[in-house]
Amino acid sequence: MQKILNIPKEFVSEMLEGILQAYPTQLKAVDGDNQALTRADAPIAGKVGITTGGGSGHLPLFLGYVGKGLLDGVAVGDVFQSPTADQMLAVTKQVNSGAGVLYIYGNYGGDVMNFDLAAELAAAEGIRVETILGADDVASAPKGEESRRRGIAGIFFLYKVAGAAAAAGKSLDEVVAITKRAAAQTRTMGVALSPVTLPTVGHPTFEVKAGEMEIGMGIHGEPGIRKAKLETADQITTELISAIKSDLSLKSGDKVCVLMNSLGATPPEELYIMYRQVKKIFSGDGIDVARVYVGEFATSLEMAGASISVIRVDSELLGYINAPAHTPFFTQV
Amino acid sequence: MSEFSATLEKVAKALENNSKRFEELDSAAGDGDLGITAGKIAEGIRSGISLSTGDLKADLMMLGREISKSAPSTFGTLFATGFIRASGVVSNEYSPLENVQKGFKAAFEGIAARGKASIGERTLLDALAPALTALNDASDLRSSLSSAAIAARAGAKATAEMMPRHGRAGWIGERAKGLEDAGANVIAVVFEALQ
Repeated sequence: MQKILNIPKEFVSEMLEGILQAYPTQLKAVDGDNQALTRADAPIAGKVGITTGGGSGHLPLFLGYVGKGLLDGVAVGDVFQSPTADQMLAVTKQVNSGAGVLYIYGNYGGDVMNFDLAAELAAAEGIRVETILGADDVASAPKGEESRRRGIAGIFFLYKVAGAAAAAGKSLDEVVAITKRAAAQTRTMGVALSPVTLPTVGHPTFEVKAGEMEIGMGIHGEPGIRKAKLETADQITTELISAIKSDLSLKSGDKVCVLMNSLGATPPEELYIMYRQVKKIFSGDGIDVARVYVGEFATSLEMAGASISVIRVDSELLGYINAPAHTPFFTQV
Repeated sequence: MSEFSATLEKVAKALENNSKRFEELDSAAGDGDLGITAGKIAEGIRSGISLSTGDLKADLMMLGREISKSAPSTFGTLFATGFIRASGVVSNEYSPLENVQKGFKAAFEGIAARGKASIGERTLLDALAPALTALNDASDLRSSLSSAAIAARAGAKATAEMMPRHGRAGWIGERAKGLEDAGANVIAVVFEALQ
């Protein structure tokens, strides 16, 4: 894969410089560290602060969701690496208005350790921090072991619900309760068609053979559940949706929102071809699709492939999902 | 430089001097970066020393924060957690021996909780646990630290016969047997420098 780079090890710092220069009225760095970003107007008086964090290489995840109606801050790591506890602490202090802070991030060992440490240090400074992990990837651990699952694109729904609830003036306890409900109703499953090249490595660090696919591969190349010859869009979609339906015990009369996500290289055209099949399956099952998102939400550099996320909603969750939001990477009116 | 700072400087030096050994052990079973991490922890310790106020509680917290900044890997974060938890329990009202005993107990519990690991799973806890027992059995500071160093080294050696469950070593399982755990070796080196 050819890349447009200057110095490979400056990949993250130069990207962040560019983003801050592109959106100077929307984002700001804390204490001059571009890896600790918040809304330009943070802290918002009286509002619960919502923060996230994680490695680079997944745009618009994670920093792309910092903005009105969504998140207040983000700690940004190197490519596929956790940021430091200190960066998360700096973000936490900047976004805290006194109403407490909620961390929402993907369930990965390095992130959990650093952000737990950040929460501990914040507590020592009198800031109340609660944590909810994104663990929506059905392929990463079997039912019954949900706490071991990795977090991928479905975290978008957690951000959306938490961000809207906080913007509506809910307390930290209320935001935690509603976001936990969203997390319990969200599942994702994906397929990878190509590996990725880390800028500092220069060659793929794992393999997806030409003509093949890997169902359930993680967004850092973690092993999936099945390698096979590339199948048709309808076959792939049916496999992904069947796994989600079964894990979420979806039944006739349920209402859902769907997120069709490209892993980086797969174009929106192909996502719509897949969505056609999603809609067909759900219609046949009597499941009502209340809202659909199609595009790039959680990528893995230039990986080819896609994931489908589904959240079962009631009127309260749907209200928060439908609420307006505006960030440099995501706008919904 | 205070006695506390001088002792920590010895620990930093020992971590640097043994980084090659940590790297070798970690390359055989883990991802090979523990030598680098040990060097970064040493940097964090020196940075903490330079900011020392002479107050044990504040200094341990500062050391933990500086280590977490300079060594943000999993092992570095666990190491930093030990200092931060120790900071929470030490007091000027306790004797030095009591502070060492209480501090290492809190460090052990904090690291076990954050790393979600137990004794016998081939981690740094397998060197820290016997060292803690030795500290608690002693009646004076000097003998407690020297018996803890012996116990930590024995604990690190014993990890060679344990099946790994954590980190990359957890995936390679049986193949890691016969080799000592790299993290447990770091703990042994720390206690040998403390005595």
